[in-house]
Amino acid sequence: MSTWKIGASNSPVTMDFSTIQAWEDACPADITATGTNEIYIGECYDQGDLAGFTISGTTTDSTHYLWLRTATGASFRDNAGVRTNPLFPDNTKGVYLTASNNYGGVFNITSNYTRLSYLQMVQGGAATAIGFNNGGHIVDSCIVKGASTPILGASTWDFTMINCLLITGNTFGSANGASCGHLFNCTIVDPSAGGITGLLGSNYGATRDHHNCAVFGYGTMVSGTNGGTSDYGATDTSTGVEGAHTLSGLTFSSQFVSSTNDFRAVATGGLKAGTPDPTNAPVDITGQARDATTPYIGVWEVAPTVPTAGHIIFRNEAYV
Amino acid sequence: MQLLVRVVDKVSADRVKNLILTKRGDVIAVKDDGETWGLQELLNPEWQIISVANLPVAQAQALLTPELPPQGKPTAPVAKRFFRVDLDALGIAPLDAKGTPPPRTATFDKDQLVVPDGSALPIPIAAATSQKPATVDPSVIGPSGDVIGPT
Repeated sequence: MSTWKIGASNSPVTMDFSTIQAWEDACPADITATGTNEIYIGECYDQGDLAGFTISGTTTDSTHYLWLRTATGASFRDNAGVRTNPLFPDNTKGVYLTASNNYGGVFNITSNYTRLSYLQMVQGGAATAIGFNNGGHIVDSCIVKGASTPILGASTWDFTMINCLLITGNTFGSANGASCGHLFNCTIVDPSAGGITGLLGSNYGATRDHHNCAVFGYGTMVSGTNGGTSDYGATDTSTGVEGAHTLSGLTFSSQFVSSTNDFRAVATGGLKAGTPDPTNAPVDITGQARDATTPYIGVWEVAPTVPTAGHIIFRNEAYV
Repeated sequence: MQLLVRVVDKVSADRVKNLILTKRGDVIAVKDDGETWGLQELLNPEWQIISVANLPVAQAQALLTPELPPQGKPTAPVAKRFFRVDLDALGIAPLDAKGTPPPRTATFDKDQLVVPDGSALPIPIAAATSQKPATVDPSVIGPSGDVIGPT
């Protein structure tokens, strides 16, 4: 395993790479057991915004892969105010990747089994924010915002997203949420409430399924082939509703602190209706433990109410 | 502008992946004058940093443009870079027989790097940059474009 420091400036920590693309280009061509036999890790520091990248061409397998993540303490989820900060991209609160290209995906992931963790990725151009190809990718606890569709999968393979907030933009007209993939406890939203479809499937042979996912702001919840057993969703639309136990027709603005720029779930909404998934999502996007019985649908788990200090409980017990 | 340029081909034993990897003359990253690089970017013998005077930011960034997949074939392998800098024309040699890299930095003027060619590019760059031939998927043969084996 090799771990490299990535940051746009050299202060206060001296970086190995100032760009993610150079980190990727320095990766050996084969990191499997026949090559360098390693997990190739890039840890991003919160020292200036980083740009888009393409991860492709490296020979990998399920135990030897590229992993782009934040350094300790550098993620939005490490911010001291993470439970009270708006859940929305903010380059003052953790590693922030930005790009504004109009072609391809600006965060292109093609090398199989690539992992992304704890990042904020914002695309200002017309292209998809993250473009996946090939498969086995895992994206964990990231915030992804597109000026158009945030996620596009184009493959007969697949990718998995866990605890990710995906935000559709309408800068270039109505757009979709995510295309293909296996989604667990994700929140997929179009703040304009003018999105087309929340989750697409059957894109070039790939399929999708969703579990404990909140899909709001689209005319249709899902379309295309359900590649798995989707369940426990929540949405505001009544069209294209899919999955056992999925709630439909909810009021978008009642589920979050703000339906435009803060997608923390609120206790007064209807999202506390998920099913426990200790394998994929034992905690929420911030690391908050999920309720063991009825967790929230989506990325955010509202913390249980702690009894106010000062209450004294008398018990009628005798001790010898 | 500063360009981080690959001076030797990155190769893979996998013929498809080899088409994707960056090759000599591909620009890996660009920075404004005065911006700092990381240690590995300065030390990796497979790269060289070229300073180019008077090169507009948009033209430098255009050198980062990836090849796009053919229409309707989004999963086709594509090269990471659509353009390359002609390092031979600039007199920048690859590693010598001992693996010694060229000088770590070299400075040129935009006019040395870029000669107008007027080709149909998204941005009127180009110059001693040239468009690379389209990547040909080795798993596809014949004019029909039929794919041999799994894709």
